[in-house]
Amino acid sequence: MDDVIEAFRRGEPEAVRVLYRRHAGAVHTVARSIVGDDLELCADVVQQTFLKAWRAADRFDGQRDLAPWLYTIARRSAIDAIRRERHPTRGGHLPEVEAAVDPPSLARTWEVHQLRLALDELPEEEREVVRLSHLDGLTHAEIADRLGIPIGTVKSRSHRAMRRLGHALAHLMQPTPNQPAPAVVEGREGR
Amino acid sequence: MSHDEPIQDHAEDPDHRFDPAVQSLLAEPAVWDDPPSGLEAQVVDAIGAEAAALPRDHPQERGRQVGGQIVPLVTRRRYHAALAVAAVAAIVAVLALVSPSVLPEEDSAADEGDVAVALEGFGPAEQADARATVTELDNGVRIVLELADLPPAPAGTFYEATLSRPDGVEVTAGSFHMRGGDGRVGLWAGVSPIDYPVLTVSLQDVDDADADTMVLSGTIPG
Repeated sequence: MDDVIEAFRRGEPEAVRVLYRRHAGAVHTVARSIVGDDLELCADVVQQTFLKAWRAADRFDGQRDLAPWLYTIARRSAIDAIRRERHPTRGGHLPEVEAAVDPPSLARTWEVHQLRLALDELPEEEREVVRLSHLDGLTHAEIADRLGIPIGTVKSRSHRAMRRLGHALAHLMQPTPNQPAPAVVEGREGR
Repeated sequence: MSHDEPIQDHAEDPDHRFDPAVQSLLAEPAVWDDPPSGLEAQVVDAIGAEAAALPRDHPQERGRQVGGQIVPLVTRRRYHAALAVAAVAAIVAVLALVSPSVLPEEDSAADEGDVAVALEGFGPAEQADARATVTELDNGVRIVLELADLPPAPAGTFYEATLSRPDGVEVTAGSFHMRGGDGRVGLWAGVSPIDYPVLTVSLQDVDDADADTMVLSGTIPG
């Protein structure tokens, strides 16, 4: 990864493509979750995110995980984009108008980002089963018919996929009764 | 055994019961949508064009080139906030010279009106055990962070705490580096956590306000 980061810093096209293919899906998901259905604006956010990342790449520590860094840039770029859309600058010396924006919470945008990264790591045949099941709402029998494979194969691919997602997203999941509880937020006293 | 051989139905596998909120996200188109197919080439070309336009002897100018775009409000506010943070850091540095700690031993988290907040770790701080005690006083909001396993900020970076509104507007609460000490950090903010309830700690680059990574976050209960 250090070599890829180094090449990315120099703006080498192949390195840009490597990082883009690895992270663009998750960055786009963050943009979509904040911007909504304006796909052109989402694409602009994705482009701005990678441009800003490149501009700051010479100060990025290659030992750090790139994904959280890109997530933060993407989230801020998306919020900035919808502010500009809702109140475009008037230019000159007129004061800027601050746009009222109500983006999803940090926790939610982080969850969608992490989920998309985990989905992109799944083998294609497992990812397809999860997509058909959860996004399209198909039953296992319907998926088997759609893909032309036995229903048992659908179940096994689904099981393996959910197991992989479970491991990748363990930090996002609520504990089962046999697992320790997460830290509790204590409330205000005496009010 | 082939990976595709049918196995027992594990639909009710208790070891992999997903958080309902996470499971519902799998049904959202936003999670599955891909960027448009031509965007990759656009990004490669845009970065290539900027890289080619850089003078060879001024690589540090790259971060200051914004291609003629109007700098958004939030970036200008963060620039001014960075100046304020630097001023506060200078004052704290002077205080540190005359006192072993800017936090008196009796400044514990047991005062009436204290609110305890558990902070969730991300990225490099994913394993950190972190909590904050927030107290609204007459002269501002005192925030005491208690951090275990938060790595020291590398050279050229620092941690910055912010309080933010639901619409994303942020106000700085101070900065620190964790290269020593007992894991307790004292911060101050000038806005009420009732209006700015999200407490975030980000790892910042000294030279680039945009190059930051969120490491801790929590919501102050109201």
